[in-house]
Amino acid sequence: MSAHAAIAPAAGVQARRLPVGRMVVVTLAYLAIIVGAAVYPFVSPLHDEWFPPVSPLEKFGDALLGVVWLVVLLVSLARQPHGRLWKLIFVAFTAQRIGTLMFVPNSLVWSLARIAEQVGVGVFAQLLLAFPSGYLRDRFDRVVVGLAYSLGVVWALNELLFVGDWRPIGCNPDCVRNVFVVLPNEELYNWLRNAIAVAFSLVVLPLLIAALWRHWHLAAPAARRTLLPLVVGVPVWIAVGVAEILSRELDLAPGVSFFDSPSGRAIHLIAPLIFPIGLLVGMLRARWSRGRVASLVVELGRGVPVGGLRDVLARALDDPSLELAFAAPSGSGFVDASGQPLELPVGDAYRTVTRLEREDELLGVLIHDPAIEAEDPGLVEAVGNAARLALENERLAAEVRSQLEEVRASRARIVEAADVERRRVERDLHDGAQQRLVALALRLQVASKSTPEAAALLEEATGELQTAIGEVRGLARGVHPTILTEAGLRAAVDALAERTPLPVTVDIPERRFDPTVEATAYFVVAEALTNVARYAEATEAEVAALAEDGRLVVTVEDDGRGGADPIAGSGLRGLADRLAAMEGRLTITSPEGGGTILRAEIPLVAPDSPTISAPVSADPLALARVRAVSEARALSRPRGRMRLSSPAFLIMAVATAILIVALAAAMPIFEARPVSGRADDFIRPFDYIIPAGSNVRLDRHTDDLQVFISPGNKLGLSVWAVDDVLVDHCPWQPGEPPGPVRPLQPGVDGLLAYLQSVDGLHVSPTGYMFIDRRQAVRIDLAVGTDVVCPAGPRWLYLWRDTSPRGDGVAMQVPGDGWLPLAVLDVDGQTIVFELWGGEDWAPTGRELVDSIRFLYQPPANPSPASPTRTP
Amino acid sequence: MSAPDQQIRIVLADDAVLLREALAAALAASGFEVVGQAVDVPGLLALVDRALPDVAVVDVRMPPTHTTEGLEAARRIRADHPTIAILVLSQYVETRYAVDLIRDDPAGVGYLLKQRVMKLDDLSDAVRRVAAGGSVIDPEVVARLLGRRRSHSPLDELTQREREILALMAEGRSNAAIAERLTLELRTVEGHVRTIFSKLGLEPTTEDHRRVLAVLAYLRG
Repeated sequence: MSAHAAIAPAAGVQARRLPVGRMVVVTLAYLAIIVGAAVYPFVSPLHDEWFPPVSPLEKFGDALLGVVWLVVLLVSLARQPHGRLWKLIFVAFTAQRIGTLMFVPNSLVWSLARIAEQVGVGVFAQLLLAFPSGYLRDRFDRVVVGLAYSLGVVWALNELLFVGDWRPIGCNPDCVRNVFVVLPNEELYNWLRNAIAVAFSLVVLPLLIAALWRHWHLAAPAARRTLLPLVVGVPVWIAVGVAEILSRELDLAPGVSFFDSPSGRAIHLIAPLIFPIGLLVGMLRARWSRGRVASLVVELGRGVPVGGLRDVLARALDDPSLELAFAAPSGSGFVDASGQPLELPVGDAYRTVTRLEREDELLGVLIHDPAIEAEDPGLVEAVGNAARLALENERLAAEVRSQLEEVRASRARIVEAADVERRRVERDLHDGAQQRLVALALRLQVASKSTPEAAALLEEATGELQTAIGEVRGLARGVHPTILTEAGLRAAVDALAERTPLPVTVDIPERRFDPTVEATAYFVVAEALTNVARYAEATEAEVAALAEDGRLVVTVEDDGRGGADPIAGSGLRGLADRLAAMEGRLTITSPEGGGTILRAEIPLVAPDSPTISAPVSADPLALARVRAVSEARALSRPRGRMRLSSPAFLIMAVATAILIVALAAAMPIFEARPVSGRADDFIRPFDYIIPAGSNVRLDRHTDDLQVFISPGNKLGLSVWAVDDVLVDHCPWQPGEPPGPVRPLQPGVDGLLAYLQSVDGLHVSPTGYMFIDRRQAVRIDLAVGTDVVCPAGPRWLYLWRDTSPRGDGVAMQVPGDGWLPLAVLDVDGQTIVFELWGGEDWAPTGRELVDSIRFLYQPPANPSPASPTRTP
Repeated sequence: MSAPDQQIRIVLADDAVLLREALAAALAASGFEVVGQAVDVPGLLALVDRALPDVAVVDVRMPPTHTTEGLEAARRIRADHPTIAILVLSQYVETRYAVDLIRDDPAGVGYLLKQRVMKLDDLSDAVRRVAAGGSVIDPEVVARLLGRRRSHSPLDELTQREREILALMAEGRSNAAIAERLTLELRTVEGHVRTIFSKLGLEPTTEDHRRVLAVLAYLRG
């Protein structure tokens, strides 16, 4: 992404145009889906009576949820029309409505919709982890989302492949078949169902939360602001959902009662809002960082200290780990502000490189957290725009600095080379020329002795020689005094002082210093004393040297007439240059008439100067040193540990704890609940009364006793008549009692026991089925005193019906609708009645109770074998 | 001046071969017997132990560090052979060396600048003086010391003549030598010496070499 602009940096970001057209289209599509999904079930020929009844509160909650999701969708669309996030949100929302397709009276569609509905979980997981960029960042995220998807698919496949009959699980009698069924096996289905639920709860949910934490952990502060609402809210939502599901699944009375209570219902409604609101707040929080660009521009306008641009940009983008790099002068690679080479991150999901260019010239690159770009696209660009000028300044300054550094280094090298040369000359003079001359003088003397006639000449020659020697010595001393090399500064200055024609006090430590330092100090003192002797008209002078703070401070003070011309003229000019080359300093304080103080500061430690032998690279940026960079490097990246005290961490920890505790607590509940008490305690008897005078008709063909309780309403009873049994055709076969899968629900087991205790009623549990997650026991039922072959085998399902329409134990007979069960005690005989209603009649249990009471008279001549029931 | 039967035996130590050879030749031409030459301190000490000369002429600067090995050698020789006189040659004036040299026992010790040796007469004179047990301080050193200006120094109260005498005393010359040098009466010289000592506040000493020490110490401050 390049920051093109021909003018000076804009003071902010240009306002983005809202993609109004697209927003309208999306809104219409959204509303169409919502309305369609809400309406279709009512127009579909399929009628699923097990759709949860919708109370007004729930309707309101649903509507609110729909509105919130729509707002989230539109905000995301407005911020990033070309991004992926809003599309992901749309898909997630749509997935929730796929269940509507199960009303389509087509087996294939129904089956596919069943699968698709389960996949919705995976989409939610993807949405959660892809926020805010819309893309999953790395393998960890992809694995978790993949797991969520695959578990959803496996769940759906489990139902499709192993459930033979749809009706028990939510499809009305006329509904479609399962076209995919492979092996109708309830046990396998149940086992897989449980396994998947466990896997989801114990593996996927914690992983989701872990992935969320991981995002938080690795994000820059700016990105964390965006993630915070989700990171805090989603675990809470999950915990609430899991708590409710477990309570209902396992019939945990306190949980069920809580969630049935108004506050529980309110929570049930509010909890799903957490996710979209978290997304929304996260997106909106990003908006607030726009103000940073304005403040950035102000700060840049005030002037950025050299090397401080990186810090300013890091503050503007709120990413302390931000790095600023420039193109390397060599042409390949990048360097940071101090000239150190910098490698651009490749394939790092948590670092992104943004190039800052001007007219195709690369000014620099910013390396930052990609979340900044994702949460607020264009912010990095705006910052780059604003900082372009400062960037260029920084780059130029870095170049100048490096050149300056090179100049300084070469100056120091020159001074050092000159010193070395002088010492060499002195040494050569000393060891070579002087020796020879002295030896020569000696030999001349000897010659003079042995040749008296030439004595005068030789004496003269010797005299000349001695003069020459003196001059050479003086020359050598002027170049570099031997005493300085051999005895040190103190001795050399002492010698100087002794040669000065006025009293000089010397206060110099005895220690040795670096040869260059000693030479510089010596020459300064020599020059100063010369000036004192020549111009100052002083009576005395003092030379002092003090080593402190890594510098040797040499002072020459006299009480002369002052008014010395600083630096200009005299040998001090060269000395001042030499000191400057060593990063030292020469100052003269010389008030008129008040004496003169000359002060030289000589660094004792060479300031990073390369030795003479080290070659200097021609790369300016590689040499530049910026003090501010060391501070920047010292800035530790904020990828450190999440502080244990941060509130988000605490909340997440608590939510996870709740989750784990709930799951752990659920485990031991899989144990048998003892059923005790009398059957009557569990059964609420219905009293069905047929008013006297009602029409009663017995249909011989079907053994239905039809009772008309009011015009137009039919109430039918099927009564197993004993005498219709064909003895030689006995369809009754007591079924194999099934092994218990789970303890029967209270009420059902009691009724079963009760039924089994009724004489003349043959009851045989032969199977189990799950109806709306409730276990229904299939009973083969027959009435008759003939234990070998009772009459009229019917089978039905018994389970506890807690729906508002039923208020007792319900039963279902294949081919009929759901009907309340009637259990009657008539003169000591109890008979189970199956009731069915006509096509246009669907009474509630209340109506039945209030309107009908029936008394059945057993056959007048009971067969001898029929036992009497003891009440 | 020496009679052939009193030839003074000399050992030379200097690592500069040119100068050493020339020196040996010059000393031999002056009537001394050069019995050995050494190039470093161990060689010198061995040579001294073996040859037992009258005088050892030693350069201050010798290997390995070329700083003050000569002084060390002088000290060692004085310790082992107290009767051997030592003449130390130095490239430049280092008044501290001079004082260190004669501090313990000024008899038979001398400190000369190398440039002095070019004057053969001065060299011979110095050799004979130390061989005779006197002290020799190079006049240049003395001049340097005297030239040191100090504010309000009692030196300022000395007369010209007294200053001359003081200088010669600092060089280690005896009263007789001073009298001959300045063509004065011995008595006059002795009188001046007493005055000088009293003006400077020094204890008068009779022995010349002790006197040198006192004067040098005084001048150095």
